[in-house]
Amino acid sequence: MRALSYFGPNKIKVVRKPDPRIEHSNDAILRVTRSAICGSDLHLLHGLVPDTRVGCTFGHEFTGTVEEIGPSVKNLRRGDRVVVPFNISCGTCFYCSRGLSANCENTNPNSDVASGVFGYSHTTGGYDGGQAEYVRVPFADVGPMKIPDDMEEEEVLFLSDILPTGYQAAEMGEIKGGETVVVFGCGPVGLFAMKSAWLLGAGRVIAVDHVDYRLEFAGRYAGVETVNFRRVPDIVTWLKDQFEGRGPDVAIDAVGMEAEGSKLHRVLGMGFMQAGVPVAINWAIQTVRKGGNVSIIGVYGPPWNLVDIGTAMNKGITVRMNQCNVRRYMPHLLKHIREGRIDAKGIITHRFPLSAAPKAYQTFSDKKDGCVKCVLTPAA
Amino acid sequence: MTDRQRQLHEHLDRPVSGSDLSRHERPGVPMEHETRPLTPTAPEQVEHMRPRRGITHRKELRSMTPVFGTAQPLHGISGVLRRVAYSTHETRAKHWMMLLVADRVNVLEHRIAKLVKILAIVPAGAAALVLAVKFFKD
Repeated sequence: MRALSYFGPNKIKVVRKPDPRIEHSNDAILRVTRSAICGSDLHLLHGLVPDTRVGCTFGHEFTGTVEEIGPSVKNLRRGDRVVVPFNISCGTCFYCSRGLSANCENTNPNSDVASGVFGYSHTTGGYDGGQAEYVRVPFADVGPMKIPDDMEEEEVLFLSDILPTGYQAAEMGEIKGGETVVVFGCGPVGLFAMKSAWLLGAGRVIAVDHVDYRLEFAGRYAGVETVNFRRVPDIVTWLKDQFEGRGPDVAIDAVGMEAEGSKLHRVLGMGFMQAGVPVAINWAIQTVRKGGNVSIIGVYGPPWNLVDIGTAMNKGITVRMNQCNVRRYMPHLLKHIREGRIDAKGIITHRFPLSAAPKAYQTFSDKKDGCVKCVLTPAA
Repeated sequence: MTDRQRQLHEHLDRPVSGSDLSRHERPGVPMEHETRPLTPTAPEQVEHMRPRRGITHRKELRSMTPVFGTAQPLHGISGVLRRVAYSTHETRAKHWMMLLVADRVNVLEHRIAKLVKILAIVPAGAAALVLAVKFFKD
């Protein structure tokens, strides 16, 4: 099969690889129909995630058609169209049975920090991802959700990661109705966090970024107020001033480890002296009102970051975070898509065939050509 | 108008804001719920995969997890470094630093292997060319 493969920082190619095989009785093999590039794939591309091996195929947001199933699979048949959560979860372990599928303890032998994840280095289990023609899906009776016959792949593709992730980010903000919310980051997850904040009853939402076209997109797509942090003298003070000097009730970090905004943190983070650049977390902590909620959904790596924990403690902030427990959100958010409350497909700005995946990565990484979200079509 | 279009049309006027205001409408609240299988079809017993060569696990685990990825098994010097990293507790910076070093070594290994391949192909190609020229001359 053809698959995107990693050959070192900023070096990826589409090459021929052996087709995946059934390796466990509850595996399925999917023919990938759509595969998206996630912002967190860029951390892999830039060589920031430990144990990213040469030959690794990225891709944890995909839909596919079932080609083959293992002997114990009951839920799927050959030909079924499915969307697959990025977490690989057994469904019954200590964590899965409590709803924490992102923390499954049966699928990642290499680290205790997360469950297995498709195409996200050996730190998350060493599974190849979906930016390929075929992919092996473990626990086929747990993760994959069938796509309704009257829906297209692209309508539901983002149920695999970014839509539930954005929703969980807003949910962790404990919005009860009328709260003020600041979302750091106008990438795809940030956009869905803004949309979700409205669904949960937020009273006012402000989006923060430094890329003008993305701010403009956020204003149009999510109906939020926007601010470019490079155009104000101090973003924390500016944001506090919008809320009578106190700050918002909820601050969401939808940026993660490659944040801009502090030269010191960039040098330390990109030079591996801390695990990523925690600027968005620090701004969230400093901006949110005393007693408010900070929700972190941006991705950071172990072992440490220079986070302003003293300010968080003294302000009495509640900080909530986790990788998204995707499977729990899929049916609920599918309903929102079906009923027209969320136009998930509406954030796709670019489509590429699999053979052009390196160009797609470059477009997305360099934020060229108004790119918000790239989707690969392996069959094209 | 199809059923789908009608459904979308019917909901256009519904307020988007606050539609999940009730905590009961929120699928992730509480984040940790009472114990039950994640999905009704989740297998009751998790069967273990057969062990594979070149697949390792972190120091804190006594054995492999039931299911694991089999892509890019350990090999070469980077494989040795990764084995050493996984024999160190993941709470130590050494573990992560060694993995990052192994990643860079892995890239070098790949480049060297590629170069060796080219160096092997070029003389073979040149010899074939010389032979072909000689053949046609004769």
